[in-house]
Amino acid sequence: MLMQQIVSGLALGSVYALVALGFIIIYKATEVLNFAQGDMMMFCAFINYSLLINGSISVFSTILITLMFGAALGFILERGILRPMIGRPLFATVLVTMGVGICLRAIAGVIWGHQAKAVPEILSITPIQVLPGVPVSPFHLAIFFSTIAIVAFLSVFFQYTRAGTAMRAVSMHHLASFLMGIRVRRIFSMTWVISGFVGALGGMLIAPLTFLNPDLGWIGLNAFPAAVLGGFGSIPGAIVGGLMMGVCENIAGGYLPEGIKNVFAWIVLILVLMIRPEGFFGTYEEKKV
Amino acid sequence: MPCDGNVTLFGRWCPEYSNRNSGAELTMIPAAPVLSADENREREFGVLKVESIEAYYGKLKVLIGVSLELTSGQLVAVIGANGAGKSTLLKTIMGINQAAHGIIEFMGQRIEEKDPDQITRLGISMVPEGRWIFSAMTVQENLNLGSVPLSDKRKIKEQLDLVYSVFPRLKDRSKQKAGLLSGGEQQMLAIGRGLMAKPKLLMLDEPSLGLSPLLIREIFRITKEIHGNGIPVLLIEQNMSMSMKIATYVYVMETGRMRLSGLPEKILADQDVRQFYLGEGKGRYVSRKDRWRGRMS
Repeated sequence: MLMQQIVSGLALGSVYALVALGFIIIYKATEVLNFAQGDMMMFCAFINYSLLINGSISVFSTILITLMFGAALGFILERGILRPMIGRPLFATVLVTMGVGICLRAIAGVIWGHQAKAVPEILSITPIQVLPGVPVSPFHLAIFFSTIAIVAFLSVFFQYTRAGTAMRAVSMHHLASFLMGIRVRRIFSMTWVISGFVGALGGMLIAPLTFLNPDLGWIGLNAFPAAVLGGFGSIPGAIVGGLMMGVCENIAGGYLPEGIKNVFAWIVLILVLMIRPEGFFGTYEEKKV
Repeated sequence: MPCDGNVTLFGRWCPEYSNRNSGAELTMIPAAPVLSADENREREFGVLKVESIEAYYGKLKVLIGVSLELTSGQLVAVIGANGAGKSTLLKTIMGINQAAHGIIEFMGQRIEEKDPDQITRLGISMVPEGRWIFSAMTVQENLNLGSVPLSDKRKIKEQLDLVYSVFPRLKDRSKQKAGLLSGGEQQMLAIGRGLMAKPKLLMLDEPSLGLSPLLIREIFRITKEIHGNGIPVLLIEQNMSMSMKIATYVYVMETGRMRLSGLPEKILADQDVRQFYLGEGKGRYVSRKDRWRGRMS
């Protein structure tokens, strides 16, 4: 029972980790908290759902198109709404992302309605015995491993490519990056594209675990406490925080009274911010101006 | 390239030009150097031309009709006391501050409307006051970031080797986090990073700030070496005596205005400058008590 909950918690946590990753990538580069992250994820999940229901293209191309859509959505939001906000007060920009999120939710509601929908299963959710005594479903495994794959890919990208190094530079010091000749605004766009892509992956993975409706965006917000738990601003922190949050939430759902599960993440958020605001991996990178 | 000698820091070393006194020179007339498009522009327009720019911090006017000119092969020093607007001048040239009025031209191209990253890619490298190195990254990564305007991989490698030859200490520490370097090394890293872009103009903002006298001397030596290798330098300094030794032309700024300009000898001959900046001349001792009474002793 406990083992089962940990395993499915890890799967849920992987999705949190993905969304938290999306948060952090944008936050580190542009210092904007993107409250629309969860809703971007939700929207992509709906796109995926429509394509699957339509059924005229293969599952593989469905996944591909959804990922592309996520990246494009990030790009369009950045270009159309966030870029004109550069140079305005930060809180205004953050509020704008909130508004964008609510609009996305409304649009999804108009297009697909508010009834919860069951997403067709790509992989079976029924648990099979992988290890003796621990039943795991192929889908949970797929969630877990695709998260690890994307995180590994992104770490290599940030560490070893020129664009990745430029992104890290932008996250450390905007003006110095300008002086290096880095096209900082293009980097901003890139972070939104990556976040959209990661969000789309998260959306596809989480939708079959729960029911799909426009309020899925709220679940995406749970990634926020996850990022705080790991140490806000740290990418490994977002991953570890996400995984832990998923496991904790699942266990809380199993052993604590009904209803606690949904707010558990936010209780953790409050506790972490009061007791250890830097989280597990938080480092205060001093910004010298 | 007119000749293929050894590659030096800022181009190729041409034996037929440097060995002026060798016997071969008498019999062989060196071909006129073939100028690249950039060099042509440089010759035609000069490198940097600033014409009566004004800049504000909020409502406070910090640059009042400042003009400055820099032609190729010059090392121009802008000196002045704290708060005279020297740094603001650099930031305005670089596009970090917006000029409210006036013209800034870099090699015949108007740049006052451009963003700092565009200006960097046009060929101005600025080494800011406070260095702004990426302290969480390694020395090597910092230098690589400096080469963003270059696209050719071979050129980047060439430039990196050259920077390491000027700053051998950076090579020893290439894998270290930049934040762990000493102040002097950080300044060298900042200058080296600026050179990585193969700039057509290098602007240094108070490179000697906060360094020991020995390191200050080293930084000035390097600045002179860079200039000697054909890169025009615009140097902002408070350390007047050292700047005077290496500059080819000097501007003196005071409260947002250009007060004086000229060859270093001329500036040094100026009575006020000697008194205010070099602390020479007949300073009159005014006791505090007398000042209170409004009397001069």
